[in-house]
Amino acid sequence: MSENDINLQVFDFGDLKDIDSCLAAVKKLQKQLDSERKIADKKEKLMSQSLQESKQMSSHLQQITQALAKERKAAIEKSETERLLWKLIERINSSFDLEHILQSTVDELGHYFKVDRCGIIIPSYKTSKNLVREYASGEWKRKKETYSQVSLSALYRTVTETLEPLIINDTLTHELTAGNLGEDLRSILMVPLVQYNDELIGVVYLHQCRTQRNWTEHELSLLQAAAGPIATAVEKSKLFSKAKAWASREKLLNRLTSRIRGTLNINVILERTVAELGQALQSSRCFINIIDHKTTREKLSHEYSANNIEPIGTGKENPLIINKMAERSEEYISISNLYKEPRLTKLSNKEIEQLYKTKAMAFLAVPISFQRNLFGWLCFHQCNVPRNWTSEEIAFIQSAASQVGVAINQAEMVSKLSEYQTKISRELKQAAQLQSILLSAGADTNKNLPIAVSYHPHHNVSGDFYWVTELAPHIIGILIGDVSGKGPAAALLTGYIIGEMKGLLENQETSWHPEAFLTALSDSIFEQNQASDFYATAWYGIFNVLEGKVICSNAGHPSPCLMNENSINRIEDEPGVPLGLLSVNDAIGTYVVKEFKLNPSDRMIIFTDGLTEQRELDGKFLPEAWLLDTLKSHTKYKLTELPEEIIRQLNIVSKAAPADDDRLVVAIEMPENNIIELTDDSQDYINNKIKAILEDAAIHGLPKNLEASLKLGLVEAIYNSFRHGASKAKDQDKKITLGWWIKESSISCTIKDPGPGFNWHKAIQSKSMLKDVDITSEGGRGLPLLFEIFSKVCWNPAGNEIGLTMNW
Amino acid sequence: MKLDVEDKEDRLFIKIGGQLLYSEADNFKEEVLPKIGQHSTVTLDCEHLQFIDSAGTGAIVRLWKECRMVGAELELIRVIPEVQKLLHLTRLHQLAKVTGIDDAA
Repeated sequence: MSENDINLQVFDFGDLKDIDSCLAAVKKLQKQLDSERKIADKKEKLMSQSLQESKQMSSHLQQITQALAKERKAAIEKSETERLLWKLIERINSSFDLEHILQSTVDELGHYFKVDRCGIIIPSYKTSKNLVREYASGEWKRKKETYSQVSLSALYRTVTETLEPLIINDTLTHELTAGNLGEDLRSILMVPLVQYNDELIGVVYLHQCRTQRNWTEHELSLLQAAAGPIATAVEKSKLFSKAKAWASREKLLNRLTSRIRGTLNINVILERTVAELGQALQSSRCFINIIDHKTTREKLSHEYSANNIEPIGTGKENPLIINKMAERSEEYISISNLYKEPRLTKLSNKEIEQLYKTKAMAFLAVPISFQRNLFGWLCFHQCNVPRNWTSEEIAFIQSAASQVGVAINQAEMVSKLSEYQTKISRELKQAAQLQSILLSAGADTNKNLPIAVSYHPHHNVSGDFYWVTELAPHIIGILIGDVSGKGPAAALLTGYIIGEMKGLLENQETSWHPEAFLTALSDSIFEQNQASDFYATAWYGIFNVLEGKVICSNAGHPSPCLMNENSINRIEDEPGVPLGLLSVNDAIGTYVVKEFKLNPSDRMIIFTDGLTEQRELDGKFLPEAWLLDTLKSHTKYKLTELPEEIIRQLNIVSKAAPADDDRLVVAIEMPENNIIELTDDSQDYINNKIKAILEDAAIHGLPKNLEASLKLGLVEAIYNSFRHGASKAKDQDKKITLGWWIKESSISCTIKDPGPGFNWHKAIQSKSMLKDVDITSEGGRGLPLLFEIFSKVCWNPAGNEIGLTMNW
Repeated sequence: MKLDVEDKEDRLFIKIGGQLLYSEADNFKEEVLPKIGQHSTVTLDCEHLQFIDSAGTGAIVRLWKECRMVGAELELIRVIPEVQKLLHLTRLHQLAKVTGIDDAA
């Protein structure tokens, strides 16, 4: 038993014997009672203490329980928030389509918060349009037009201005909404969507309708937490859209650039450019204003206008009014809303009216220039709605404008080049005509000459040249040459050579001496050609038609071919240095004179290196043998057609390979001639000889009415020869040689006397026309009559041989 | 060349035939010129003159000069076209009266 236990003692009344014993017993009992009382007090105290402790413990336990419950609740809430956030993040990550993301987000939040409506507003998402998506349950569904107006509400403005959540537990009592909301909207929770840099992206809201709802802290924090991923999704989508737009613009820019590089048709380029830019930027109009540099006026050159937008009209004068509002230094002119544009005051009322007429609210104009040369403006209109032109859009349009500048510059250059080319080709044509005239004069020799020419220039103006001239009726000077190089410069040198050549042909000291002719021509070119490295090859020969004799010299030119029935050979004429390379002192002795004999029907083919240096299609040079082979198989070919046939054969053997050079062929033939000698000047004798000639001419078609004239001409010439030539010769030499040949409708005669000749230059200067002869003079009519009768009258340098040609 | 010269009072009538060329021109002058006297007209009948050259025209000019000296008028009649053509070419018709063979008919 513990000391606190009550020690109950049994009281025995039998022991009470006396008072003392009684008192003693009472005292003992009192003492016992005191002791018991003390124990009881002690017990009570202990009990009380224990009770207090129990109470304290219970309270503590209660606190712990409460804390645990709270923690559990918080954990549950946190887990719900996390679950919701994860759900949202997952959804956001699954797509770049913001509209889809927002719709699924409002649906998710709406269900989660068990609200009647949940919505998200993204202001000015695309151009100036807001993106709004709303979830609503049952009867609380609204039309898009209605909920799109949320952004205009005071609540929206409050949130977007303060960037703080707006909690309205009861719209009927809240200061912002009391008496203002007509619908049965009782509680609103609106949270701003803010980016990491505190930039407002949009707003998310919850609506509770009809019944009032107190928004809890948890709900607020949950919605705020959800706002983060939504803002991220919007930002991500915006970035994605930007990247997509950037890629599409880059693609467009690349297309524009490659198109500009690929075509020179500026109209097609610009037409498609405005259409594509207009569509890419979803603008109402895109157009190009071109500045006329002469008048400084602006004209609308190309225009795109969207559906239902009235075009301004291409070709119209269209001054860009908005550029008056901008500073000169500005790189572009951008107006997002004309009606709120403070710079509008810079314009006159008329100008403002003109701007209003376009119905455009937003304007963008970027200069089109190239190397500081302003061509015009690339302009955009946004009609009826304002538009903030983003820096990306402006940068893109500047890039496009830069490409358009390149295109216009390119087109202008092409136009200038084309103009220049037209001018050049006109000049080339004129040069070719001039050259043709110069050369045709060379070919316009007496058609009675047995000569044929074919000339195929490689360019409009060529470097090959030829000249055939009658030094005397039966003496033909033939020059053929090739100037190094082609084109205008070669043609100019050709022209120069022809001019020089004419002078040299006039001079008998050169025209009758091939080596002197080439030396003088070379010296002339050498003097004029100091500044350049042109040179020319040439062959000059003198062909005596009556005798069949050819004397010639060669200045680096291909040697001609000699054709007869039995053989074809290149003549050995010892080519000298080409013309223009040596001065006259160095060139003396360079050119040798060679003489060749042609029998009747023999031919000589003179040509340029276009015939011998022709490549085949595979680039290899044709062997020169082709020419000799061709001539061998064409010995009987008609002379007049032979040169053309040779060139035709060249085309065949070269398999129609393009000509590498000019092609020029001159063919001459020794004709069948008639030569008689006159030894008697008696009338009958001469009449008989002349009669034979007249009969020959008549057989060849001489008209009857020309017979008397021909007879008169021959009589005059023959008697002149007897009177002035034969009379001065020794007896044994007193014979006159008369030769003639008839070809087509022409007769040529030469009459040579043995005399010393006469100064025919002087004679024909003083009296070559009958009208100049004094009619009372008894003499002096002989020469004028010859000039009257014959189409050509000429003499050899000595003046003892006359040549006469009559055409009919 | 054939010449037949007939003196008919104040008219000297000369018939010429053949060809009047350089080789005959001197003969013509020697035959005709001395016979020009007190005539008022010298007629050259060219009906049979087939041909004439520059020397022949020179001879006619000389004849015209002689006629002028004595105050006579030279006329060439019945000139065949070929000859008449040359006379016109050399403008002799400006010195003497020239009538063609067709005109005479």
